[in-house]
Amino acid sequence: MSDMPDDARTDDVWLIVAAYNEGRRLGTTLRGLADRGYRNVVVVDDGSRDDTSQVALAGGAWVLRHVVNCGQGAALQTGLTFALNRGAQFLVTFDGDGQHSPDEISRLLDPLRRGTADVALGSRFLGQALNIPASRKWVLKAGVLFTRVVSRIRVTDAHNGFRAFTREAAAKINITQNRMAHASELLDEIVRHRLRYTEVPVTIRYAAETTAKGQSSWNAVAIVVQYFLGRLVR
Amino acid sequence: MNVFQWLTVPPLAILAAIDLARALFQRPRFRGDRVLRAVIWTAGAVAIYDPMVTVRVAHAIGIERGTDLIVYVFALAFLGTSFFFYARTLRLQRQITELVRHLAIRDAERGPPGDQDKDAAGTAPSGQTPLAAAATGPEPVETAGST
Repeated sequence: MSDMPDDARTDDVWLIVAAYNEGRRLGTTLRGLADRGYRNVVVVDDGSRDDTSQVALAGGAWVLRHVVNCGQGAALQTGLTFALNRGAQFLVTFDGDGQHSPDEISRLLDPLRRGTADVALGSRFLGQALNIPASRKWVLKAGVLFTRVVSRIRVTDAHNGFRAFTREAAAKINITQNRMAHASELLDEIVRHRLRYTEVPVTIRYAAETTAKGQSSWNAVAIVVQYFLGRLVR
Repeated sequence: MNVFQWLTVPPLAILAAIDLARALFQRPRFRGDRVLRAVIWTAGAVAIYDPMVTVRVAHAIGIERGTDLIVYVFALAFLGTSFFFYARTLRLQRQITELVRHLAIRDAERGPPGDQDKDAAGTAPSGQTPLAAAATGPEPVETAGST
């Protein structure tokens, strides 16, 4: 616990990690969180075929298992609902593959604790995106432009999974987009509920393995289609 | 009428009459979808009984041939039907997600370092059998948060 943040409590913070076949990387992520004093970690195993659940249990996390693979949006909503039921005051969504830095959680929570925002959105473009492939960078930039036009929200990074919510904000947000279009839906929810948001610079570390497992640039088109169709169907 | 017309027009007319009657007289409420179906059966019967009707309608709305009108109508109907079934599938998927979420939260469990919290929660019965073995989703979707 030597690395525990000095200026932040950790017992009222719940971290939600959506994981699909992350058994190889999840253990390191959970150790990093535990070393910094975060005890309330919820791993939503989204129907993994590997030992993700066992690794999460060994790491002392709460484990929620989707019996079938539903998608990241569905997994995050499951984790948010569970953490709210357990009395979480602050909720942080965090990637299980080591892209996010646990050292930056307290910085993300800072505006929420000060009461200046309801939602803190991590931004790799205000911070750093280490080893980001050029194609990924431009697709993400296009995503930002798309979000500014469609969702009418001024952000610099529209699809960053590193976010923090107050309890009140998380209770209002309802993610119905099961798959990757949930990131845009989440921003829509912020606008719809008139939540106060702020962007916080964060560092995202890309590795060859996580880049290969992540979304291909061409999937962006499918995500846009899913987003619009999902908005049409209520 | 030729043989084909005898074989198709009467059944279509009967279907239209049944749907219209059910829409108008069957309780508990008026059914718009039955009226729509009755209209489709009627249009089919009329188009087969007198193909020149489609030509006249086509001309009336600026289309040169009745065949083109049929093609356009079918193209639009295909799009509409596709969206209808997509919407139905999406709603079904959301219901399944709710069910999956309910099970996941009900059967939540915590690893050894947090065992002391488990009893207090009452959400993780002892001897909980991991459900991971049942994770046989047909096709993985994007849970990896790498963007």
